[in-house]
Amino acid sequence: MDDKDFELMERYIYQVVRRLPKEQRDDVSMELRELIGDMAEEKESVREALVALGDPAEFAKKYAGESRYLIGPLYIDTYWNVLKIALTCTVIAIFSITLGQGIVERYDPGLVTDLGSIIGFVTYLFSTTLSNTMNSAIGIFGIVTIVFMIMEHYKVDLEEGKDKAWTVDDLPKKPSSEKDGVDERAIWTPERLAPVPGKKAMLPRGDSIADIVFSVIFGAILIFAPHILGVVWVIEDNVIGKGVMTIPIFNLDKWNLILPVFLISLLAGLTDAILRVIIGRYNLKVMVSSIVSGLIQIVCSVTLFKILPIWNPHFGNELRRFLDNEFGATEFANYFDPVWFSNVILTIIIIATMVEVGITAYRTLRYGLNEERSEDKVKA
Amino acid sequence: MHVGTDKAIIDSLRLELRRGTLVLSVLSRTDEPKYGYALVQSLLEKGVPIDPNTLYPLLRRLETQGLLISEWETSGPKPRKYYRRTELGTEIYKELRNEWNQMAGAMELLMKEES
Repeated sequence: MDDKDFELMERYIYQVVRRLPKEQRDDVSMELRELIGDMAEEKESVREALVALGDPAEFAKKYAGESRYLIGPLYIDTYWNVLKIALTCTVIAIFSITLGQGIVERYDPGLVTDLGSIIGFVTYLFSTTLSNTMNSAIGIFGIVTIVFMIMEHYKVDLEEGKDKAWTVDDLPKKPSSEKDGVDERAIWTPERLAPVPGKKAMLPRGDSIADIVFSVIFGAILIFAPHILGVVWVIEDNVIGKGVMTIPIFNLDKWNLILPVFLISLLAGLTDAILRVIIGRYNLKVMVSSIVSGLIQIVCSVTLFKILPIWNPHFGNELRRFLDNEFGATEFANYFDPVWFSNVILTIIIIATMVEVGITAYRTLRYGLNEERSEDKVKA
Repeated sequence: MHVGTDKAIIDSLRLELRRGTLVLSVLSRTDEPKYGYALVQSLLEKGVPIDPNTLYPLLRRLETQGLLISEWETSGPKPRKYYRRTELGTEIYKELRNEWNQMAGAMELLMKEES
């Protein structure tokens, strides 16, 4: 074997071992030197030997075996579903918010007359929306992927059939002989087949997805552009020129107190909705999640509307001052009673939440558990 | 059907059929220490061709499963890794061999009836 052959062999070996875990590299390198040497002797050329061994990447795959997954077959379908939903929501939400915010902040009626400023305005909108959307999409992709990597690593159980209440019988037997040591739950039996959910036990996926989209969009507005929630209008003023004015309806001075409560509430709803999409039918998990998330949302709403100073205290005054009774603003400002407004919104939220939790609980108890009973029948 | 597809199907089925017998073939030849390429050749002699890029990873896997044990022999002109069956390997080899004999007998019967 001359230097050229040796170089060729070392290159091949490197291409194989660089794809393997560090601790295997030295040993596999030695092994391959032995193998290629033997093969080259028989075939009378290192080149021939390498051709016979084939693509080093394929070779490395065989060394690595089939068990090294970032996200394995158990989770990959759910992963794609969640990823699709999460990406769609993010792209729609961030795109529309950045676009809206860009227009509100940069729009000036005067620029319509000048082609240069129109182009500048459009370019600005285009680049900010594009870069913000891309960044958030990549971020969401990363978060979803990491969550699923962790699930893969710990083999988190998403399967049906183990969500019954815990009983003493679930305790694993103390292994007295080798046979007893086998985890019985790991042995598949036909009794463990989850029943096909009846039509009435199925959760409409569209509703949950609508929930997710709403939570994400509303959450993004609250985080990135809370000031656009309120009264927005275009002014023409001799002193400051043309521009967009907003009177926010929320109390942005106390936003650092208000925003977290809003987000906790949205996050509770979002988690519940994602769980519904993943499980796809009424069952105990869905019912518990619905009750917990409903409670969190009600507590947050009471905190927001009854305890925290959520409304902009200058809202009425600013309306009167800036709008000069245009569009009946003063009248509106005179009638605007924050306490009454809070009460109405709070009542709507509480009723809506209770109705939703009620429906979920009713359907779960009526249809969702039925099947677990019929499952027991199979066992009997 | 296209001839190329036919061949591809046969190839993949043949591969599948052979895959299960590889462990048995390797275990049958490792009662005495053997290095990788000698194993390739001795299997080929007996009519069991196996690609080195399949065999080497397989040897490593069998070692992690405790069926084989390896040792580097560095006294010769070039270092060689010798593999040999462990006690567990021998035990499992015997069981697999019984399994194979039963299976072969049954298959023989099946195909005799069919023809």
